[in-house]
Amino acid sequence: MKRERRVVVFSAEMKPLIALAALLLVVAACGSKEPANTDSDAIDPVIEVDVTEQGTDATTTGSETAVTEADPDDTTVEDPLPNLGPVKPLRDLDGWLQSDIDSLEDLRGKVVVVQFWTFGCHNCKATLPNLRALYDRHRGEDFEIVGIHSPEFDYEQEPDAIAAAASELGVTWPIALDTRKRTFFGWQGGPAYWPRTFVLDREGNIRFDHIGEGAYEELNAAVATLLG
Amino acid sequence: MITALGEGISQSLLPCSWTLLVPAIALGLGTRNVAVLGVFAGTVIVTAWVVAAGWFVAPLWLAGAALLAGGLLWWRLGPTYIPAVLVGVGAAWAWRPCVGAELGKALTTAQHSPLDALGGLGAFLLGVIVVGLLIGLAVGALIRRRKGGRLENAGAAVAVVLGLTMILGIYPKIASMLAQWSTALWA
Repeated sequence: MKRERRVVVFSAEMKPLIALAALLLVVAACGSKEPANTDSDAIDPVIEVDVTEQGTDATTTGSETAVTEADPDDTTVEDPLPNLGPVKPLRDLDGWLQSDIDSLEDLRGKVVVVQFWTFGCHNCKATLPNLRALYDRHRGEDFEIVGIHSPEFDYEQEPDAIAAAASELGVTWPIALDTRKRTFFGWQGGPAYWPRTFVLDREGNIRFDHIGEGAYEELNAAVATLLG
Repeated sequence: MITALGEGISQSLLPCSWTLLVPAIALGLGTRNVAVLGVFAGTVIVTAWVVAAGWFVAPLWLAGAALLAGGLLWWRLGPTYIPAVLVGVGAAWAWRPCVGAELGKALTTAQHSPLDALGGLGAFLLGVIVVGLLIGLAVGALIRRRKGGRLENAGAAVAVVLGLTMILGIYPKIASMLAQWSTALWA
């Protein structure tokens, strides 16, 4: 008894497409990484950058910290973080959630992480485990996180939806409602992105700026440095 | 660069990438001319790089105007170089990315050192564009095989409609509905 064989024949124009698609799948599998931090327990330890101790010169380069012996007579303390200028005011906000502050001025004297985000943004959500861990780690210190919620899509504009999403995502820090995105564009100047994370020092100067996911170690180190 | 390319491919179907993906699908649907497709990809990369460096950021209506002009020329001349350039410029101007780790590195670098960012940004965009072109080419090949019809004008129509929705300001509402729907489906 003969068994029928079904043969699938691809036309000549389809073959290169199929080969290219297969190659792209392989590249996508290599390039698509899991979020660096999906669990607060899995977060790498904070890089300690001690800039207050005399006789030690600490510099941060990328994700590594190099600590070298310095001249013991040199009593100057070198701050490894660049000063990117004073922070701009928050413009035409539509209110706050989970907060008793009205502006960033109210947080002067604290180290503040400011993040532009929107709850429907996949990449913004991927940064939250690290922010939650950072918030827990520095609870009780002069430290605060402010999430500036600048909706990309209409369905992300309702305060009730934002509050529900914040609760679901474990966002417990103050949220500034920037529904008209005045601050989103005003702060970032030129092209504006989700997510974008800044760290402000106690005087309100921008000392760290990163667009997108990643750079968690650098962010954590910047906060630790500024908190001293 | 490979990681950035992979990130572009893996993020190509997210709502943030649709302003690049849809024109790429349209172009892939309209032509199999590799040189025209290459000009489109190159135009998107260079234009997006200029935006990332902060040298020129276009409002959405201007992106729509470029797409509309590209679509109309495409309709009249066929999917040739000039329409591909205009559609590429419009798509890159309209692109409002959500940013992963690799694209984030490139965009952060572009703020102070644009040339150093070109490789990573280009690789990411290439990932998104190639997925769109492949979808368009594959759908086009299937339709041609079954019906034998001409598809050049279908891609032009997509570019015209996309451009009009941006000029009239209804694109954000349509994108919002689609994004909400796709997010719910994903969840």
